[in-house]
Amino acid sequence: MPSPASRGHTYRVRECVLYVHNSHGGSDNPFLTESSRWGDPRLLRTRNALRSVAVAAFLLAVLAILAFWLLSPEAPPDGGPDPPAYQEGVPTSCSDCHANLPESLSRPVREFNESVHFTEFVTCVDCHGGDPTATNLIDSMSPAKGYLGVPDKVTLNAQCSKCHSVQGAQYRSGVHDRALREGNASSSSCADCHGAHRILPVEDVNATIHPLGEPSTCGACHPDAAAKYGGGVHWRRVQDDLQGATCSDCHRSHDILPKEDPTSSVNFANEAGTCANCHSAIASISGWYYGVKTDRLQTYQESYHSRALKYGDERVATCSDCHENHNVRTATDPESSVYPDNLPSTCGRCHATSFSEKIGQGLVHDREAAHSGELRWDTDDLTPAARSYYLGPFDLGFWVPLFFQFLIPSVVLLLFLVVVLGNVRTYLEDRRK
Amino acid sequence: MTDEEQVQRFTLQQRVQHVLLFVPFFLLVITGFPLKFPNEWWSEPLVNLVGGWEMRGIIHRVSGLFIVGLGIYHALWYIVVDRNPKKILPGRQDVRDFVQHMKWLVGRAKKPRYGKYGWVEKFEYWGAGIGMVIMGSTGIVMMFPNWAFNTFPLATYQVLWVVHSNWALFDTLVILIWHMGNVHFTVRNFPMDRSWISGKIPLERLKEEHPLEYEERQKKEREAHASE
Repeated sequence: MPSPASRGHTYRVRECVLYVHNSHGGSDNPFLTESSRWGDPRLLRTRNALRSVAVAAFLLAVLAILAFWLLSPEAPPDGGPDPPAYQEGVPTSCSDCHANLPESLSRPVREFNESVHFTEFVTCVDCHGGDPTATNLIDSMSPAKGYLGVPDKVTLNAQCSKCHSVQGAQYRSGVHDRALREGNASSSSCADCHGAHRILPVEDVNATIHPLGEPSTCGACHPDAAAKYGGGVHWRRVQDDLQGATCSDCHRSHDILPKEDPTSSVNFANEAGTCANCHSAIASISGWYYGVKTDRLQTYQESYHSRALKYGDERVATCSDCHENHNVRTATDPESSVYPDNLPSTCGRCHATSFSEKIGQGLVHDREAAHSGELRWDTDDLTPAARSYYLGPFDLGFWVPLFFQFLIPSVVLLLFLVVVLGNVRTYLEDRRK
Repeated sequence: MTDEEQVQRFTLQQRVQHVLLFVPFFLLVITGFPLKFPNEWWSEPLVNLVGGWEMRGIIHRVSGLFIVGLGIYHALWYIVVDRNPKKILPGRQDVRDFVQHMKWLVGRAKKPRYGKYGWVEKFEYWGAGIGMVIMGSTGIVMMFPNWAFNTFPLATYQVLWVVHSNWALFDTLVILIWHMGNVHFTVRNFPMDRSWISGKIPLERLKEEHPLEYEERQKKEREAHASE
């Protein structure tokens, strides 16, 4: 027979079995039903733990994918350096690459960023073509997208003319474009004078076309003319206050024509008018600080040279034949072609003879000269220039024209009266008969 | 008109000289004025009319030299052949005639009685003579500019141009007004005095315009009749 202790243990087990049994037999609790499927409550706990792990893993995976998607960088193109993202307001992305390239490919960017085109929102594409919005350099510099590379010298003006149509048309009528089209590759296109990337407005002192820079810009191809110009009074005036004439003031800027062309500004037939653009401009060059005489065109027009020129005589002298074209100097400069001592040889160039000093004894542009009409017996206090055209005590240059000014109208009027009255009297007397 | 009695006024030589003077004179005018007034509307057509700029200069120089030669011939002929300079030399009577002529113009006197050449003709004759000297001398100097530039100061040359071109204007106006108004385009002789072609003048007009010559002629005729 079992001991009470053993009975008690048995009882505990029975109780437990009874409990299980009871719960199994008479209850509709779903939990109980579930536990009945797993069969054992310990298995139930294991199952719950596994479910928690799976949910956590799932959430972790979602988070990881999300994080990876959000945080991962764009795919690098062809393994090159990563370009920064597109930013609004930056006109082109060409510079994003070119700024980091070797000197010859990055200098254009630096120069362009200083140019007037940069501040006026002209972009690389406007001249070079291509597509700066493409994400790789093959696409952005594809000829299919209009990429030109370095524009051809002959056709460059077509690029510039898209905006600068007037200047482009003028350029195409000029000698530089004609020479290029005829195969002279050393002729100048837009960029040769204005620069390619660092294009600056004419007011900018660093511009290639600023008055201070223009002579050296043109002189790069025309060194002889520039050297002569550098010795002249125009360049001195430019250096003083920028007001002197530079190359383009005489030759024009874009429609530059050779002097043989009858429509050229420096053709002999048009030269006087070209010089007169400044030299007849009373407002700009006759001030006390200049003292340049503004009657030079009028006095030239009174000369035989001008009169013959008007009728098409091609041999006569115009401005530059006496004053030189590039090496223009004042008459007081001993090196000037119109310095009195140099006039015999200057005039002799055309007159094909060696003149004496008499040719310098007079004023070619003779108008307001020293013709005051006063009697002058001594020439000691005269300036050398005035003494050179002293013709005697009577100022003939004053009195002779004055004499005719009074003689012609007065005498002709008198004669006219005598003739008319005489005919009237004769008519009246004949009628009376 | 044709039946009128005509008397000789100009010899054939004088008439030929008249033509040889006025033809180059007008050539000088139309070739010279485009140079003096290059900006007038008529100046370029005139230059084209005479055959262009080069031809303008040639015609002007040849005509000028021709008139200078004619003047020299005329003076020599007068001095050497004619030897009768008195009738064309101005004298005191011409001054008196001039004053009386002025009075006649305003109706205060009778018309002066003129001989073959009155002060009107003498004024014109000597005016032409002085003009020839002035225009010829200045013109010949300006014909050789290179020589002139080496001989005179340039200022002198410029004065020569002022004298030449202004006297040309003066001369032309005097001829147009004085010669035409007194001789050709007059109320009696419109449109011209035919004496320059025929050399003859109607006796009636000789009596009117040159009464002293008319009387002298009548006197001579009477003497001729008397001697016969």
